[in-house]
Amino acid sequence: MDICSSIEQFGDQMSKTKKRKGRFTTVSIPIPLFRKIEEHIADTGFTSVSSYVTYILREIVAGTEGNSGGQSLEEDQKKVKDRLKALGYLD
Amino acid sequence: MNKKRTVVLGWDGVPPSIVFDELLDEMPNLKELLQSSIYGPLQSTKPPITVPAWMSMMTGCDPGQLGMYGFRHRHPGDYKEIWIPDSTSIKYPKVWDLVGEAGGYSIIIGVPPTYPPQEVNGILVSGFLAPDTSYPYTFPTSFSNEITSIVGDYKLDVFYRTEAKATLIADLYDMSVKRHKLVMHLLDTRPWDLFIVMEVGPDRLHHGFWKYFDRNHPLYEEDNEFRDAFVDYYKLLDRNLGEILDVIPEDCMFILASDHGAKGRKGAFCINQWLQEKGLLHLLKEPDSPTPFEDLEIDWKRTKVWAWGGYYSRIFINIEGYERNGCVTPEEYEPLRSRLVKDLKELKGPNGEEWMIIVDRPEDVYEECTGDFPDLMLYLDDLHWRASSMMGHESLYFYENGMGPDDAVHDWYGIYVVTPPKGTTSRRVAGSILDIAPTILSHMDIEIPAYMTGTPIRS
Repeated sequence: MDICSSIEQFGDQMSKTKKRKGRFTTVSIPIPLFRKIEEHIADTGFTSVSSYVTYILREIVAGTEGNSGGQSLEEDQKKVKDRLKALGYLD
Repeated sequence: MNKKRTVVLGWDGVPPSIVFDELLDEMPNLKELLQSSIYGPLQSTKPPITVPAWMSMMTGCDPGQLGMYGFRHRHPGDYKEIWIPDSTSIKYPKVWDLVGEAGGYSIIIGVPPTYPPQEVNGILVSGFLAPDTSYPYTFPTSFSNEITSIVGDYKLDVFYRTEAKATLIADLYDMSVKRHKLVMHLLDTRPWDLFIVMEVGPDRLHHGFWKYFDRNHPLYEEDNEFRDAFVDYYKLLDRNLGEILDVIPEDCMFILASDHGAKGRKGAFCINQWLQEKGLLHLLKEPDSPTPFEDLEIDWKRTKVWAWGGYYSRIFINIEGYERNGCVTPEEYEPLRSRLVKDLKELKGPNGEEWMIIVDRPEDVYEECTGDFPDLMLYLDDLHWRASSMMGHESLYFYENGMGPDDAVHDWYGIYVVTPPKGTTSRRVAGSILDIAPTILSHMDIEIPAYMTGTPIRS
């Protein structure tokens, strides 16, 4: 199977309508790129290509997102948080 | 909009044993209503907590679909920062949104979380998760003036962790009487197709007074002065129910529902201390007295698992790629989870008592898992024991922690009563909290969205 058809297959599996379970899923990257990353992260704190790729992608995605947004004002949150804490909901 | 209307009266945290059995003879209006209703225990959400349970009832979505697993959630990747769900966190339409799309008017009172109040085709009064009534807690905003003119100082909630029990019972009455007065005013003066009111009082009564009522509670005392107060509050609920039933039109479906049950609390278990004993959680500095989770100095680089407490425990695994100092690799993840499940299921009470332990993997209990779901969900002794995230207790087990009394925990089953227009059949059968939204929509001839997994309750 060539790389493109492999990606298409995964792309299909990862369609937005699919309900994913668990904490991890698989994406495909070209093997030469995988090897380059392996060399790149040698002697860094990253223990695997997956953790490095996750880190990089998260940085990129975070840069395109605003705040978690939609939350009511910080002051409101603090007041509600204090009350919930006093009631033992945040134990 | 056609004229098929619905009234939903919510009683927070009422278990079937109290209103269908123990106190039924004290509640003549409910007793009569059951003669023409389908009713029974209503299976709550997992977890059986006010948030997310009311929104599961109102959207027909389970907590996984809503991405809502309790009163707080993590900021992804941050070990200690939390956020509190509010109305903007609910991504699925509530039944009143669907009724509004169909051109119907709704009046919504007290359902959590509905603060900040969002636009509805009608009137919305936020519930106890609004900061207080000095904030804009109604839609339209100006409606709060009308509330003041009708009932005076309106109460969203009462503070139940107090030893001042006489004050608490007075506050409870004040809150519930005023809310009922508002309900009667609105039923009489406004057009509506869907009317929903949630009274949080019963849950507060249970937390504040359960030990005075439940003869099996470890702290129960014979001839105590508050047992009558407990029963009298239920009589008040029944009187209010009767007044509502007297004024709603004959073509109206009536639903009484509670979001979860209640039972006696036996104590709290220090889940993080247990994880420390298992070598899964490490501290940089041992606390010398009981210390809340947010003040603990945790060695995150070596900690594989930590947990939150409450009516249930959310257990988090410090996963590489998810967490700032994640140290559990994807390959280690499932074996660690399996080991945890096995070890947690062996937990026992302080004197070696057998506990019914429930440990769920979120993906096994929800349609889908969205938002900040935990890695495991733990229920201790079938909910009789709370979990505490504090560390520094002398033992893994304690009863009081200095935060004020709270003698009840939640239980898996609330109640429901569905009375169709001109209902004549009486039947007692179990239902699910996810059945309520489809029941409302079906009666009002509104299409039930495909993502709702419940089924309409029919006679």
